[in-house]
Amino acid sequence: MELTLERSDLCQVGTISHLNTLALTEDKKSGRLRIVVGDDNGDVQAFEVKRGDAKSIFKTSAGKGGVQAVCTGGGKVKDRVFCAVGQVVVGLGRKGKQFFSLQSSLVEPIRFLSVDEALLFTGGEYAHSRYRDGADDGFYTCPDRITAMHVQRFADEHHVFLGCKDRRIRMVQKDELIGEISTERPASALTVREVTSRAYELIVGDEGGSISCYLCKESTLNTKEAWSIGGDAKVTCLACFDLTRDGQLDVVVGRADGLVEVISFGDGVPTVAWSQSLNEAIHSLRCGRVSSSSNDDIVVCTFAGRITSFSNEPMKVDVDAEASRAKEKIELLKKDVQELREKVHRAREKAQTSPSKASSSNRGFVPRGECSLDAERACYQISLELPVPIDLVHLRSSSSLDLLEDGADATAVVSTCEPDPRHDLPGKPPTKLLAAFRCQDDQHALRFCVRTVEGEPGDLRCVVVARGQPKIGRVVDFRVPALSLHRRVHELTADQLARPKNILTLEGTFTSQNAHDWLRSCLPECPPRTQPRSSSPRPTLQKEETSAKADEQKEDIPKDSLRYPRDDDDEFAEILKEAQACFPDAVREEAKEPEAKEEAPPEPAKPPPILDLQHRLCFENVYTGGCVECDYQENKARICSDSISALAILKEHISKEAVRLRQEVSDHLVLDEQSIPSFLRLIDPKLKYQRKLAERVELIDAIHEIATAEEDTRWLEEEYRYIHEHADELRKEHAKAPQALQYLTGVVADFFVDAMKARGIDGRPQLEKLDQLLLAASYDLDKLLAFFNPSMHKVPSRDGLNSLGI
Amino acid sequence: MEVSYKVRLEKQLEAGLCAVGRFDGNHPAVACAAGACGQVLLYDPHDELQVTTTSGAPPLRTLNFNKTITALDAGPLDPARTRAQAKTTRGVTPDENDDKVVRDVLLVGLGSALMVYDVDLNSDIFYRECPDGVFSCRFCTLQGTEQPLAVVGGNCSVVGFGWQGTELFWNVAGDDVRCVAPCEGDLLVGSDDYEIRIFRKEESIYEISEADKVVALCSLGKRGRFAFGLANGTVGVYKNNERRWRVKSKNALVALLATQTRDVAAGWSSGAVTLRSASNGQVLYRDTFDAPLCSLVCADLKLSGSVQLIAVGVDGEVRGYLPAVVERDTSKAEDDLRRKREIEQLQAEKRRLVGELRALEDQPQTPSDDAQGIPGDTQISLDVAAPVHGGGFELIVATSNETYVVGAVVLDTDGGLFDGETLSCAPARPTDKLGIIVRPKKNFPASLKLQIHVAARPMSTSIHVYEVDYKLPKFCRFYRVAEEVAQPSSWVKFDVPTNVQRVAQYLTQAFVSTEAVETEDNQVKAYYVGLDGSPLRVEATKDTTGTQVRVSTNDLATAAEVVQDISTALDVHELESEASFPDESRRLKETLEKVSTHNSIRVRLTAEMADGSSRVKALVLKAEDARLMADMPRMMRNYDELMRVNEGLIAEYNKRATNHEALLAALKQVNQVVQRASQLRVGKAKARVVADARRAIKKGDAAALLSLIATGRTGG
Repeated sequence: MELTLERSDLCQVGTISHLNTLALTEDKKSGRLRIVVGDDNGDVQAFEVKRGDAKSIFKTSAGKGGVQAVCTGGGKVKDRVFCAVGQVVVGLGRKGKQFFSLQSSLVEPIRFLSVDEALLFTGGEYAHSRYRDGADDGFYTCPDRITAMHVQRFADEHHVFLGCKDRRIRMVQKDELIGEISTERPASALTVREVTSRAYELIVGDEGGSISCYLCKESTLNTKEAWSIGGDAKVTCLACFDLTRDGQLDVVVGRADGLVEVISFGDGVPTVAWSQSLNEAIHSLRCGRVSSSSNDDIVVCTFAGRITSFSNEPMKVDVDAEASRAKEKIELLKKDVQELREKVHRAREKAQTSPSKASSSNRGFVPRGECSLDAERACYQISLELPVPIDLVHLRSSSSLDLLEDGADATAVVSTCEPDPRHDLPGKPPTKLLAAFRCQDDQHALRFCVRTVEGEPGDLRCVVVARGQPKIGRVVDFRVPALSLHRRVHELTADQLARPKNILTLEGTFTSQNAHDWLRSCLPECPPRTQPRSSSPRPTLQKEETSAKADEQKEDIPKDSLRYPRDDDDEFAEILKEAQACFPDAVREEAKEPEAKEEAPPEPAKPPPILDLQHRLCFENVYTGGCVECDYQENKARICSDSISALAILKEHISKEAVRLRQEVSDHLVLDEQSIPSFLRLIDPKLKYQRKLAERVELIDAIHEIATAEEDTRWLEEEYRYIHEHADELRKEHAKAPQALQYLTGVVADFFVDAMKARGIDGRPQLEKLDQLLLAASYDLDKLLAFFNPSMHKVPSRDGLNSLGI
Repeated sequence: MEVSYKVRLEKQLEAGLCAVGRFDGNHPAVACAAGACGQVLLYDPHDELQVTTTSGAPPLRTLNFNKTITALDAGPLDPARTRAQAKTTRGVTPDENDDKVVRDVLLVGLGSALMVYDVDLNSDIFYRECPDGVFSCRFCTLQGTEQPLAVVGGNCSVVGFGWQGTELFWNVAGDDVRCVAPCEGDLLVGSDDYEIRIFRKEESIYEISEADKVVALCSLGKRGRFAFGLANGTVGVYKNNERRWRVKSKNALVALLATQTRDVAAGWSSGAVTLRSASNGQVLYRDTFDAPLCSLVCADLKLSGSVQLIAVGVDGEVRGYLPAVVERDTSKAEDDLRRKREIEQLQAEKRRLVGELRALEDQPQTPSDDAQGIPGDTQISLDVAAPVHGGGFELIVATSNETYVVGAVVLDTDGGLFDGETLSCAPARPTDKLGIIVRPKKNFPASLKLQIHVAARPMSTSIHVYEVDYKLPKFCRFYRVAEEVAQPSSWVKFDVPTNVQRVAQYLTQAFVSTEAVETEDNQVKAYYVGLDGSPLRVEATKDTTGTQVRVSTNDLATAAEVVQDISTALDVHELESEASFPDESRRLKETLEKVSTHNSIRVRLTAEMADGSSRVKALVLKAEDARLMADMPRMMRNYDELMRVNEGLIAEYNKRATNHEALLAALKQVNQVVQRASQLRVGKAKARVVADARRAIKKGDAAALLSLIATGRTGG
């Protein structure tokens, strides 16, 4: 279904860094809706749109600090607004007069707000409160940060949906949690699309840009998504409104990259019916009859404070009148601009003459910075936005990052330069990357991609310099965790659980929060506080069997895992003694069991024992597909991973951290031989694909040459014909990830070094051979697996074992 | 502008190799190079002899040159090849005016040879070996030569050939010549050493330094007015040898052309075509192709009576553009759009002003802001510090009070001085001072923009940005040292008609130094060290006519650069000099010897190759005969033999290729020495050195060449 929406820029307010600070209130007299918007200065302004012009109705200060949320309220006629500023909720009447004020008892600022007659719902960082007539009426604390809130009246109850950072959407009623959905990514916007009086659909927009729908019937939430639509940029706003006028509510979407979309359900199938980009992050979006009593509008408000409407019926006044109106508007604007120029000029002169101590430039603007992991491309996408044009962005990183070419904006000129070692501090990680992006034209936002290397944590400091006089810059900091390419998952899949895994055991005196903090410092997306174990069943068929075994297997470390094949018996006895000294319970004399294991290789690999430890966190590597599971409680933690590299990194960081905090922690790493081929099998298809791609791209020119010389190319081999016909796609794909192969071989090389180190071998001298093997035309998995056989490399020395801490 | 027609040739074309000419004297045809084996496709929409292909693509004529094509152009080179002559040759009676219409001929650069070909009569006009290579080729009419020339740019040299294939023009450039263009009788030459040279007759009258390799040049219809394009995506215009504007793009430039209306059209690897006004660089028109652009040409391909701009994409798409009819009575929609754009612009401006006003008014509002703000009287100072370890010098920025320099960005908008466009640093522990090491990659007086980030506290998130301009001295790769440096074995000596003080002043501003160069007893002694550690001494003493300057350095190129810069700065138009470069002379002698050995090897190898190829022909015949007679063993034997001969040929070819490359490298060196030797002089002497050197090289007279370096004259 075709939809045409006419865009008009209505007005301009101060910058708005918070979401949902725009509301539409009813006005009995005109039958149109008014726009009420709160900005970062704490000002709340109301506008009425008359013939495409926004006329101010009131402007009042709601308090000190930025307005963080605005919503409509009131009785039958929704003509009042409630605004959240800091910890205070203020109610404003039709004329902007304050009639209500509520101080929250919490220290958290109120970020989400919803009002239904006498009920008021707030959401802060972690807590959700419900007030009836200004008195406490309910309270719920989420385990992780709240990222979105929506309140839905259902029959006589109110369901509050809270989207949390831990990828769950919680359905809360008063103090109780009545439902929970696990999603792929944290929800960033929520809304409800009513279907019937007994059922509705919960629409979820997430940080990755997809929009999905969950059905809710009879106040029970279906945890399986009904449909889902993908997208590029984070969804910031969602609304439901019938813009297409087909009797079905459409979903209107606002995104962080400035795109506004309308999803309609023409044949019951969700399709994007209309979209337009404003190139500025959309921070609020509401629908209603604003510009006239017969037309529907989408009213959006951007980060920079621009308020724009999209009307579904173009103003059909005669064209000449329209033109003259536009001319008038231009004149008016010109006058405004002229006046402002003079004002600025005067102010500047004043600033120069007055010997005030503080220089100018202070408030100005707040940058919007976002850094998110792009799972598909395994890189971090960083976006920076200012309400004013950007002049230059300077980047400093203490972690070695690759700036990916294609992710950068086309207009910004990027250049990197060699860091000066004199500027590093001894004892602090040295600067690894210095880069500057010079922006051209009127660019308000800069987006670029960086690829991190696991095991190299660091800080990323961006100085964003704005255009204009005086020149001001703002600093935006990001932290790159050590295992930066991991993302949190609710639970591993059955397949991941079944993989052979290496185990890192930590014991000592520490609290569970300590252990949690260690993980938090190395892995992304960890909540600040420990989380209870999820009660949901684990996706494995052998669940009961394994849990029965759990107790007996808990501390078992196969003795032979400590033994290196070439060790002579004496040496082994010595190692064993040492190991037993460290872990008296762990290493038992159970020589037979591993042997049995060897004899029966076809037996499916056992999932690692489940520990009944209190807390559990699971992660997967978005690039290699490796996984990490962490179970921990007071004085004991156990981390399992099929990637020895991930464990090695964790071990290093945890011991460093423990030493720093003077905590006594002993760690012990058990290598499962089977995990190495299992992990290499994960990487192998990627490696093969990249090799093939590189080969194909190399052939393109030669094949083109043949194709131009010959009239008929049908005789070409199928593979070559494929290359000829898909040359452009192949080139694009290759250009997207030119260093992909290099990166992959790097991952394998790290893995090799870590795997050899775990056996007490210094693998570094062998790296050159490994590289040759990986890049050779004759590469195949078996050769690679054979290379990982430790007997190929030199006999371990005692030093090697010592370095392991055994 | 608007697209007036589109044609799809459905062939892959080679970027940059495209020319348009009236090969039959009547209508224009487009010639494009395709493939690596030297095909030229001719698209002639008015050739009635050709039939349309089944696929609907227009008919094309294919010319095979069997060698990689490196340059392509067309022009009326041979005045004798008129329309009448073609008709007479064909046995047709020529019309009245036919003898006045000179037909265009095709100039084809084939790696190391130039082929001039008459398309209409299908005959070669001449084939000339160009040992210096053919990187670019243009048809030019130059002041001082009577006949039109095919000008070829190669390894450090520019050669002009007349229609008989005789060399009528020769000159040197500093590096590989990527583009040549005629400009109202002058010749513009752009080379890989970032220089644009303007030759009038035999003399180079201007040399302009740009920021990157010069890849495209085109005249804008007046002397000294031309457009240029660089390898880094910059396009700009010079007028009276001063740059009027330039813009930089991320894409690679493939074509540059001045339209009939003297606007600058540029074609990009991204497939974009932009038309900019020559006077201010404003974009007049934009269009995009799906594929990278191949070339831009101007011709009246449709015989509509006016010349159109024609853009060709590498996928064979041809688009013709016509200037749009004068816009006044445009549709309402367009008017609306324009108004909307204006409103948008005004709103953006308003937003900016509101922001600025707020910034100015809000100053000392809240205490937290105060802590972040820096004192209003903060001053920034910029100093040049003594050289640091590892070469280069240091720019030191400092604040005047208790504030911290948290970072600095040095912007080189010209480009080419650093690896990227910027140098930046941000210390882990900021202080009130910050040193940035500058190691320029070339000697160029660029103006750098420094952005200095100052904050009240080291970790403050609010930063005040100061902007300071710094003009690099011309010889920014050399810095002055106080103690005497080792005496280099080579020197150049010349007289300038000024006093010693002027020379001292010049030295102070042209080199990186912390203090002024002083004169003592009418004598100046200054010592410099280059980035690579090489010493440079400049001494000046008063003599009878003025000042004698002696520049001692082991590098001929540096000496040449100093001489040229001094003479410009001191306004000297004629300058002779005396030089001694023993190392350079020895190397030159060796190179010349190498050239002659390579040449003799080449002749021998060519003869052997002819031998081999005749054997191949014989073997193919024999093998085929055997096959026809079903004598399989004999056929096998012959094919075996053929394979061996073929392998031998390939091996020979590889030898030839290496030999050829070595020869090219040697010739390039010779040309470079000639170029530098000429630059040790100024004015007439400079042109004379080039001309004499050419003669000496032709004769193989090494002694004359050496004496040219030393004295600027052959013999004596």
